[in-house]
Amino acid sequence: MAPLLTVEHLTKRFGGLTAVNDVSFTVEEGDFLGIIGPNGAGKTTLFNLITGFLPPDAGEVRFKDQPITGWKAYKISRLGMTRTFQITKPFGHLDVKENVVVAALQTSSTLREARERAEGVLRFVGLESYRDRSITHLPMGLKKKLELAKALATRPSLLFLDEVMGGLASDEVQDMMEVLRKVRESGVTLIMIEHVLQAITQLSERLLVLHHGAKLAHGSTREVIRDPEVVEAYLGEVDPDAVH
Amino acid sequence: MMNVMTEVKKQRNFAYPSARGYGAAALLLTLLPFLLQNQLYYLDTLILALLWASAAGAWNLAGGYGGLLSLGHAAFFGIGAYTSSLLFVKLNVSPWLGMVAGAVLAGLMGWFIGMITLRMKGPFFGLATIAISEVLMITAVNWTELTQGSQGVNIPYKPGFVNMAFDSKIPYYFIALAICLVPYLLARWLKESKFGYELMAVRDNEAAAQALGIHTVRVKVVIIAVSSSITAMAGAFYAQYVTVIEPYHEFSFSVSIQMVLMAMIGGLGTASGPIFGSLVVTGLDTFLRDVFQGAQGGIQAMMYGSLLVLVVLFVPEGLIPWFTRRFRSGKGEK
Amino acid sequence: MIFLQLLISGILIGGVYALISLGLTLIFGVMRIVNFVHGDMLMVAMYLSYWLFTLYSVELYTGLFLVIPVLAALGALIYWGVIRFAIRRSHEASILATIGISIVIQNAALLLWSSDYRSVHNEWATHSLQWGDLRISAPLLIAFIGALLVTGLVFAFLHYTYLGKAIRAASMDRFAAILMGVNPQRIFTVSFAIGTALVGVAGALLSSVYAVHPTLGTQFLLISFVVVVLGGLGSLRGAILGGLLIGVVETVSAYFIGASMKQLVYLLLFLVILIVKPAGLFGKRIPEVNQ
Repeated sequence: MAPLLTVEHLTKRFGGLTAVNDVSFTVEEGDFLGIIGPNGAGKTTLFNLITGFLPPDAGEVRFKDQPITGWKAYKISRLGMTRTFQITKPFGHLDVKENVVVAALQTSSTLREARERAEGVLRFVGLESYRDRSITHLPMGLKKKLELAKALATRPSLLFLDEVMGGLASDEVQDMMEVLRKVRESGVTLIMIEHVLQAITQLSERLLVLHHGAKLAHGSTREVIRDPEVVEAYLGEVDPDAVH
Repeated sequence: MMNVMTEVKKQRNFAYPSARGYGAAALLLTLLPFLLQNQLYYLDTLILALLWASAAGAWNLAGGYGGLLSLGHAAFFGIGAYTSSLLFVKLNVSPWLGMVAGAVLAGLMGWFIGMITLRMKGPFFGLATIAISEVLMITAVNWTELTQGSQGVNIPYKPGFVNMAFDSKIPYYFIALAICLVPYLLARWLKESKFGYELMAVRDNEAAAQALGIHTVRVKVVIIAVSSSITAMAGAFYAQYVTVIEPYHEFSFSVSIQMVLMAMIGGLGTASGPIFGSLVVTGLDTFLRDVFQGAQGGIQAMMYGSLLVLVVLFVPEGLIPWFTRRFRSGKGEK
Repeated sequence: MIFLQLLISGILIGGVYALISLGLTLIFGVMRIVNFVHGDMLMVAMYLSYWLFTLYSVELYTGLFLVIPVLAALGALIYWGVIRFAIRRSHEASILATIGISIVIQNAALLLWSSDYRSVHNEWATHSLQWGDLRISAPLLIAFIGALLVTGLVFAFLHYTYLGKAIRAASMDRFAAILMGVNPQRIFTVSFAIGTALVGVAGALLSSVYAVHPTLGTQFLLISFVVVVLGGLGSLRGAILGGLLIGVVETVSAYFIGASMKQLVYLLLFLVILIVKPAGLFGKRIPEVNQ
């Protein structure tokens, strides 16, 4: 069977800068792929290219055996690939539950069904007691969870997470990791950008390392974090034996 | 059963009255014109308030729920007024049909404008809508064979239901009320429908809406078209009621701003906000007309301007949500 | 010959449009505010010049020394009184606030000075220079030269003084400017004052060219919107090129299709630019609005 997602020779230039340079990889159904690299390595741009928020200059993306290169973001989302944003993007005039209802509506036939499903997703990520809260004063940890809840409510088969743990306190990171494990168990394939290396090395079994827009390393987490080049560049602070 | 009861209680506020509230409101609205039958001045004010409430309500569908800050809705108001009047004056078509024709034309125009402006962000959309209403105004002024230019169009008074012209003001009242209910009910429906949620999501964050699978362009174009159509209906009724239309008024910036102002005063993105806003503004207007007999034009407009600034600075969410927040604990309507 | 005549007249009036638009684009560039009061400030400056001339026989160009500080103070006042609060809310809020102020000012003028058209009849007003078939209106020529001088001064200010550089920094990247220790409130106030003073100069220069009336600002506001979008919202160079271009377009179209339809040409041009190239003809990027 063909992989769930195939990315081939994806390239994006901004003026003289090549933000993403000839990146190729595949993701199988059920995978949990981590993407790491220093700031400016092109991680978020790669997400934007795959999920339809930016058109690539070259390369191809295939998802569920369909070429989706250059598709609009909403069409890609409807095919089952969605994402979260590094800077959370809640719907500011709607309350917590309504935010999730909007997402659930995309895969529900009635509003009633969407509301029930939104309720379920809120429980799943542990936001049920905040359902009536307005977005305005929601703390960062909860905003990140809401971002995840919205994405999950569209019932994706492939979910891109852009730093869902950025800016969280350590207990919140633990909490988020629990939720992500549950997401994984529910059968969603995950691709995740993360700066919290402890978290990403514990969660993902494969890693892709980007450096100046190009693929530096790609393989199982164990191998990649022992790769001397990678260790030297980025992982100095992680003890490889702490990885599962 | 308990759930239903708490639901009803929860919804009991200015924006979502209870079933009993609806009954009382319906009764009052039906009786009101008969009570004012001998005070034509006030009945006239009330009819105009309902008329502007319809236009402001129509604007609010795009501006309040969709976040599309149109500053040129007079374009659609004028299209409605001119379409029905010209069809009636030149071809003797019933204004009822003229109103439908105006709504269709304005809807198509709105759809077209939506298509060409959809990539614009922030102030660009507002500026484009101003330009469009100016273009229509200049066209109406200069295309004299069709529109009689700046002289305007006079609608001959031929009373009869088919001609939407009546001896009494009461039928006008009920027509205005009916038109006013269209955006009101649509706004209520938005809060209970997939399209409405999509629209509010697009307003609040377009990229996030796309990520969830919402076809944001289609949502925006649809709401502009709908909002334009209803605005045109209000324009057509206005022409019939006032019986004279002029390009410098119907397509004017001040008509556009009036809709924005009323919706803002009542509350952007609330169903009853534009109605309330229209009542406040029209009421103040009448009051000022009584107080300052002579120089009222300038004074009234200065009041509009000051009100706009004050609302933006002090009650940006509008009066209905503000009242709702003040008089019940918990969150207000959004 | 007629083309040369139209070109020259167009460039002359275009220079004044450029000066008006310079103020608008400066305010937009720094604060990301579309300032609907701008046209009314032109009207106020014209009335001020008119009254100075009519009541106190102050020559227009002497009057400038009073018009500039008064308009700058008015701009600062509007910023401090209203805009600085609205700007915190949203772009929509600041647009609507300036529209509100505009309505108030226009109608105050209507109440104070009625809707009569008033023009300054000084010794220049009806003069014109003539070379063969070419006629050049003297007040318009003076207005053009004045606009040129002031534009030059503004560019010098923005490029060679600390405050001017700070304003340019703020307009390129507000965040970076704050990091550099530039006080945004001060920058905003100064920019609003300068932008308004610029339109004040234009008003004084125009008061012997056009008759002033309370709603005169609206048509100039519309023109300066067109100019500024054409040149790229926030771009100072763009405003100047755009102003000259619109001056010529307007003069040529007024000649060929009539004065009542000339607006149609530049409004349609405006819409086409908005649709095809919202960054403007001379703008490098779309300013980051709506974030």
